[in-house]
Amino acid sequence: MAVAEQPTKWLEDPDLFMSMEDLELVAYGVVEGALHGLHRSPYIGFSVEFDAHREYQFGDDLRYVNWNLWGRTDRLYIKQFKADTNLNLYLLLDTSGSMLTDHGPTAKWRYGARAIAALSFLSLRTRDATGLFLLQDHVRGHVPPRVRPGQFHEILAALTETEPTGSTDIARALEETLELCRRRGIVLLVSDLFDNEDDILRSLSALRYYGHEVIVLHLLDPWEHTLPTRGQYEFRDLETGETVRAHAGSLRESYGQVVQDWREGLRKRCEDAGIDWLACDTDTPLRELLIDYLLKRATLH
Amino acid sequence: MGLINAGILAGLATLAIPVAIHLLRSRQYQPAIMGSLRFLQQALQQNVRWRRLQNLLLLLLRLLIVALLTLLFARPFLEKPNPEADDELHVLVLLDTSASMSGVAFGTANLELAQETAQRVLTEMPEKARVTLATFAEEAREVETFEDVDVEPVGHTDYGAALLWGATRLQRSERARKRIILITDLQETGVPVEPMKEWHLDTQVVIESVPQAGTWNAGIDRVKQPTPYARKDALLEVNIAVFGSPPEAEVEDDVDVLMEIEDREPAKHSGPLSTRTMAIPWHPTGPGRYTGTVRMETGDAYAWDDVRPFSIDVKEPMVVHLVNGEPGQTRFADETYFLRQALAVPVTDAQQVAFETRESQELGDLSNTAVVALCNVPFLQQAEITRLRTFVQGGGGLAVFLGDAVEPDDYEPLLRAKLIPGTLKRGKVAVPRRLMTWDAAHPALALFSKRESGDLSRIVFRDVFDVQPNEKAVVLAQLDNDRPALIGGRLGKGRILLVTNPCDREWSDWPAERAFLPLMRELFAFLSRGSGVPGEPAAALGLNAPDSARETDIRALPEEEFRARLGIGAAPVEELVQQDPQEGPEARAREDEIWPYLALGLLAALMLENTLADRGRS
Repeated sequence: MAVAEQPTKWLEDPDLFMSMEDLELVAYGVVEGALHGLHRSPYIGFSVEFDAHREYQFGDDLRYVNWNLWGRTDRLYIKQFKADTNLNLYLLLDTSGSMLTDHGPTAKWRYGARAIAALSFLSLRTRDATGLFLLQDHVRGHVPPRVRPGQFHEILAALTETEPTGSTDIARALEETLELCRRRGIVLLVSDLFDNEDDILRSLSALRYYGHEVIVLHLLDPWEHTLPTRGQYEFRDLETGETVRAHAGSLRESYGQVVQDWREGLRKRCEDAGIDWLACDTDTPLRELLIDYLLKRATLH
Repeated sequence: MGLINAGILAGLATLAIPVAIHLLRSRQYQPAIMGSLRFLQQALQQNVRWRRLQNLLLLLLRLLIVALLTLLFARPFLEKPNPEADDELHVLVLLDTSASMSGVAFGTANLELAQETAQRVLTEMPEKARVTLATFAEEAREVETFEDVDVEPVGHTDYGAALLWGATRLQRSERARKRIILITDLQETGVPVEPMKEWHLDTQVVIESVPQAGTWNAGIDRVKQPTPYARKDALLEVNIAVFGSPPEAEVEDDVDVLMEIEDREPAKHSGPLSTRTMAIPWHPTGPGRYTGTVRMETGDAYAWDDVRPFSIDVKEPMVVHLVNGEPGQTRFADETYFLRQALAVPVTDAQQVAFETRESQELGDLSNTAVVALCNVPFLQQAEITRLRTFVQGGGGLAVFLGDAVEPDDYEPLLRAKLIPGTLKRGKVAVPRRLMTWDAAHPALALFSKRESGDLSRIVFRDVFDVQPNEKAVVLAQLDNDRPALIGGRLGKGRILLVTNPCDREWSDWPAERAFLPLMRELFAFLSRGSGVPGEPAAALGLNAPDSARETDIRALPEEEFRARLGIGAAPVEELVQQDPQEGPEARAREDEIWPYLALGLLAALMLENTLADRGRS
């Protein structure tokens, strides 16, 4: 029994997976853990269309045996379903140099990659076509949205092979993404949005214009949100290399206010443009984030 | 404002520490990466002024804290205007240059040590104090600088004279605080016998003592000539004084004393150091002053008293011309025998007068004669009376002893010539009488004011000559029936003495009395001191600076006893404090110290710094 209970504990504590480098395990653990805590199944509303019967073969899942037909014909038939692929999920991850910031439990880009792995795992499990777009100042790589069995691993491979670098031009990258996302769907952008807000908003609005549901997951490092209480630092901009020397304690208050004003401004403008807004830091538990996402997504259908 | 621990102010150098920390910290930045510096720059723009001000305030506060802490330990006090201020101080530095300061130890003379001490004292002197410099030995002398005191230390110490001179000098100063700094070896012989009664108590005396160069000293402290009257084989006594404990080798070995008197061969005498007095023979050639040097060699630290110059005067004895009126069959039966013997006794004291007697039955030649004694002389020729009168008027002395041979009528010419101070009435009154009263205030009889010098009342006269003293005559001694025994008179510059008894044992036994000899010598000495009389007795000289002999005694007094003996009061409080190395002036609290206020200021600064620093961190 002790052995049987072990996975359950893992599922109940999905943050344990955050420490793992294996994105697949992270995605599995985070999603199962998140779902385990929900009272209402996220599968409701995602119907599966019946396609045909075929004869039972050894190894088939007994849950899909049509017992009524067995009673009438005394033969075992398995129900076959047509996959529901009516939704496209476009997962957009900012991979510019600024995502390397790492003052919390993990770097921003690593946190973002884990979140995307979990979301793609969840999405593909519900048979949604899921694609990945890696953004910098352009689309530096993408995995087109599909539902095929190897899609999850293809996404994971793309994530693990990518290392953030260079400067940000989210607006331009989003414009390129728009060219690649012809089918309507849900666009989830994971980024710190350290770019021109007007350009970003314009590009996101363009996505909305083409019928996409847009969710922005605004991800910041804890220090980008709130400076430490003491210490003198030479802060270096990861994208430009520029440096600024400052006493963290003396700037903390004003800095926090500036960032809060900026973030709140962005949130308002997004909501005004019909764009859903999720904000988190790298020290936000992934499970909470996933639940927020699922609840947010449920409202979209 | 003044500081009790001014030396602590060197701690202000630690002001560099907060500055260094401040500067160092301002250069110590930990590297940190940020996704964007945009918001950081915005925040910096907003509070750049406040941050700079905050940094400056923090630096100033930390400097203030260090400065307050240093001042706290320096113990500042508010200087109130009072007479204790240094600009009210007049200091007289008295440097001992007496002979004892010439002692040499390890190649350095005591005087050099004293000069170094003086330089230190002058260096430590408050800037506003007025300073007068002086040296002293027998007497004090103001000097411009102690650097000029390069002469050999001489003379004996007289602390009383020096301190009184210094106090009088300071009394003329308009400054309220007066202080004498005495730099000396605290020699006991320089201290007066009685404490100074007229000491000015408002004058502080600070003593800077210099240790004695040696633990013992032997020196020539006296050169004495027993009598100033010339003899062929004279002796000169050289006295050696020893103080302290000489090494055994010095005591056991003979010390050579060499005496050199002008143009004579040096006379050498050897003897152990313990001999103390050495009699060295010499041969004066006649009357006059002789100078010389007496020297010896010892291993003590003081060389000055091992060589002493001296002077001695040699005189001719007083010539007493005895006129014998009744010569005997033998010299023992002579009228003048006892008187001659009394005057011939050699003198042992320089104050005594030596006599040389000449004798004849007539007046004879009076040249070089000091006194003429007429001993029971029946009469004198007029020519002799005239010569005698001239002699006495010129300052010569005349003693007239009466006797059986004298008839009152025969002495009328002498009376008329005023050579006897009374009228002779009749001779030989047989009434045994004791000498009852005498004028002890008279110079001739002053010696007999005390009985131990000779009791004249033991003299009994069986017979006396009846004499009526003149109006101007002075009765020096009387018998118990009021008859005069000794009558004094003057003629011109000379002195006359009339004795109502013969000077032999015919009328009495007084030559057998112990008082006879001193009485005769005193009377003849008195007669010989007439003005202008040749052969005035003079003291035999000795060391050229006899008072300096006491300087040979190098024994020093402890400071407290020194002060008590001088009567100059206890050491000033400041000095007492300096003498105790365990307890400096900082150990004493002052009422006007302001450290509590500094402590409060420090507390406030610390709280402000903490608040400001916390505000920077939060």
